[in-house]
Amino acid sequence: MQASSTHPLLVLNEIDSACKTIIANAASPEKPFANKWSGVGFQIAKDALLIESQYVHEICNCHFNQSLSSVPGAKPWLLGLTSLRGQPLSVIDLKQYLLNQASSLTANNRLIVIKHDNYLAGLLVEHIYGLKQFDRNRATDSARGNSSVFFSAKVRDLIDGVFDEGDIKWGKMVISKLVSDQDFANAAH
Amino acid sequence: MKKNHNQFDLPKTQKTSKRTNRVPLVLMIILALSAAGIISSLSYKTSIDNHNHEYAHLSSKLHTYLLKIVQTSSNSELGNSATFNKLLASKTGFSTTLNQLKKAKESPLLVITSDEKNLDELTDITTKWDEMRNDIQTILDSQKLISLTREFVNAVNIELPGIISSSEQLLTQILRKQPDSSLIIIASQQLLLGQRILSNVNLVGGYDKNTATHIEILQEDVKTFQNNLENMLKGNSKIGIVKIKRRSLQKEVKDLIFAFETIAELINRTSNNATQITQILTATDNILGNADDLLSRINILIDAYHSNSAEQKKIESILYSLLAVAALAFVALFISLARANRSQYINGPENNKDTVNAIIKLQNEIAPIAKGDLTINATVGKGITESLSRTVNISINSLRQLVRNIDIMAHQVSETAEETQTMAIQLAKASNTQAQQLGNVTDNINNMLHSFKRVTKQAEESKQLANKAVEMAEQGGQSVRNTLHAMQTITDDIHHTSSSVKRLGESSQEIGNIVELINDIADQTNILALNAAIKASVAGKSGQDFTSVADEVQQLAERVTQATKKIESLVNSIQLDTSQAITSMEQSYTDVIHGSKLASTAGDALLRIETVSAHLAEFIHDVANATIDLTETSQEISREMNSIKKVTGQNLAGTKQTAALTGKLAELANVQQTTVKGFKLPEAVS
Repeated sequence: MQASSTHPLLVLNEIDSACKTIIANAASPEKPFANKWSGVGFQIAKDALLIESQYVHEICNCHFNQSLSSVPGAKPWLLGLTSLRGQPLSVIDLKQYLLNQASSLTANNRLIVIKHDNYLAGLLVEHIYGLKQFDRNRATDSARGNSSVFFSAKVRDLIDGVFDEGDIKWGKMVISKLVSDQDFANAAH
Repeated sequence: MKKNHNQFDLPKTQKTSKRTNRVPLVLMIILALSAAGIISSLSYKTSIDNHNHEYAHLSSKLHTYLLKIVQTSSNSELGNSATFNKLLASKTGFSTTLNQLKKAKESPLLVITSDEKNLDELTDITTKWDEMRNDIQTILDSQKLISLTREFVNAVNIELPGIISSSEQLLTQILRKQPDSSLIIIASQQLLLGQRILSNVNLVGGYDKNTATHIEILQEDVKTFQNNLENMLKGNSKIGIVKIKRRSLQKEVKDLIFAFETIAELINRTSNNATQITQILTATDNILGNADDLLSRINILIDAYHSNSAEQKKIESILYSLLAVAALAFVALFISLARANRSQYINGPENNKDTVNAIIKLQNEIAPIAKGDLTINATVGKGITESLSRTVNISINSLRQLVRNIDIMAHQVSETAEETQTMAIQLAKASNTQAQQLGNVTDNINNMLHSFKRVTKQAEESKQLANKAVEMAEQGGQSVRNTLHAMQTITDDIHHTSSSVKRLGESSQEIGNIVELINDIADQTNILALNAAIKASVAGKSGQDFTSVADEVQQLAERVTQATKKIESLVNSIQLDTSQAITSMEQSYTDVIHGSKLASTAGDALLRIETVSAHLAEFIHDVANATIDLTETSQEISREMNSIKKVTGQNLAGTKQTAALTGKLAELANVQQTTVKGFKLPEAVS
């Protein structure tokens, strides 16, 4: 750094301009953006999972007591139909679907509305961590032996990467896999 | 007719026959006159004596009868049938004697000096006797009534103590089994009433001037006694008497009611009789009042008749002097005749000798008369001495008659005197006994008076204590009322506090609701922020700046959530505390209610104590007043006893006087008898 003058203000100004140059040179608009992977983190039983932001339409506070109508003859994980600002939405208990365990219905429950090809579905989860951002490259492959230990069987099929955050291992879920799953499509008995 | 011959004129010288004949003639005339005088004065004296002695006798009989009447009509003797018969006999005797005296006064032979006075006395005595007769008749008419009343009083005296002890038992039972204050008061009142009834019945049976009041009180007490028993049996809420509940007690009360009915009837009949009998008292009082007067008048009468005897003594002396005159005249006559006869004898024929002998014989025959021997009679011979001896015989007869009458009178007088003395002694004894008894009674009454005075003092003190008790009960009642009032204030305060706390609870409930609302809002904000962040991340570069904003919003929402969680816990604890406060207030409210109930109970008990104390105070007031009355009555009785004592003393004095008079009478009789003894009488019929 060049300290041409001793006045503090002037020194601060110089530091400020230097930092700006470094940033302008170091990070290109494409790169950080390209490396950033953001997704919504949530919990299913012991597993911490992520859904990419682009697939998340919305997150809802689901008032399943009042606004949920059950569908007769549906599989247990299909809790029912609800209306999202006039648009019908199916509510799926993800824990029930993946692990055959009914989610406990508390005030903490959130509905993750996923969209895939103009198809909307509501996934009921017990707890949402919030928006998580990772460096894209840091995802380890789920196919590797170590990472698969942390996740249950059915879940493993749906994730294609793991972000290691120390004590939490985030599984990156692939929506297309979920949607195209036979079981998922066959909601009826 | 009096002749005083102090000198005797004897012819000293022999006079001519004519003259000599005249002297004896004169002397004979003198003799005849004096003999006539003697006879007439004798007969006069006899009749006077007869009458006076008769009158004196009758008057002393009156005296005796009157004393008997007084004795028999005195109150202590009433009810005895023998007494009534004596009273009747004495009354009849007095009436007959008085009539005899009145008849006698019409005879013209009364001594002149005290004639008018005696007449007046008799009229007064008659008037007074008429009054007394009516009173005696009243007493005699009521004989049956008096004895009946005496029976009633005795019957009540036998039965009533039994009832009083039954009442005592009843009181004990009540104290043991049902000690209600109203019952106790009534039962104790019964005892007092019973005693009062007993004493009043006996007072009524005693017949004094207060009998009418006693009867009134008696009848009232009897009614009250019966009413009390009825009230105890059935209860009487109007005057606050509780009904007796226990069977055994009820039976006792019923027995008392039954037993008392007979007594109540007896008492009512006694009271009815007693009003009539008080009339008798007036009669008796009148008799006593009039007796004194009558007695003094009779005494005056007796004295008057006795004073006549002074007159009689004068007449006696006249008589003797006349006798002396006659004797002297006779002797002079004899001497003169003897002289005449002697001269005649010297001169005269033999028939003078006969005459002289006849005269001498006559003289010898009648000589003992001078010594007092009246048994002789002069032989009536022929000649000059015939008429003389006849005259002398007549004189001797008259003398004999006179002496006999005197003797008889003297006997009668001394008999009467003895009788009267006996009566006087009896009366004196009776008066003595009366005085003694009076002394005892007076002592007793004085003792009674002392104890009554003591009781009165104690009753006064009890009055004070009762008043104090009432005061304290009132104070107690007042403090209870204050306590109740304070408790009421506490209750009101608790109410206010309770409602405030309830409002507090409601407010905290509202706070909770609002906090929940805020929580919801925070949640929503959180989700909104998340959604925003997601959209921003998808939006790419332009969305990147927004991400930080979304983050901030998210953090804010988090903070709000935490804060609301804190608020929620605080509100919960407030609500907990509030409900605890309410519970404790409810508890203290219950405690206050309980406490005020206790205070109310205490207040009721104090009120009852107040009532009982007031009753007791009244009761004690009555007792105190009753004892004051008793004390006054006793003082009156004491005074009356003193006056009775005085009267008794007077009676005693009068009796003594009577005895003295009687003694005098006996003396006079003796004098008379001794006078008479000097004369010898033939044993023929007198």
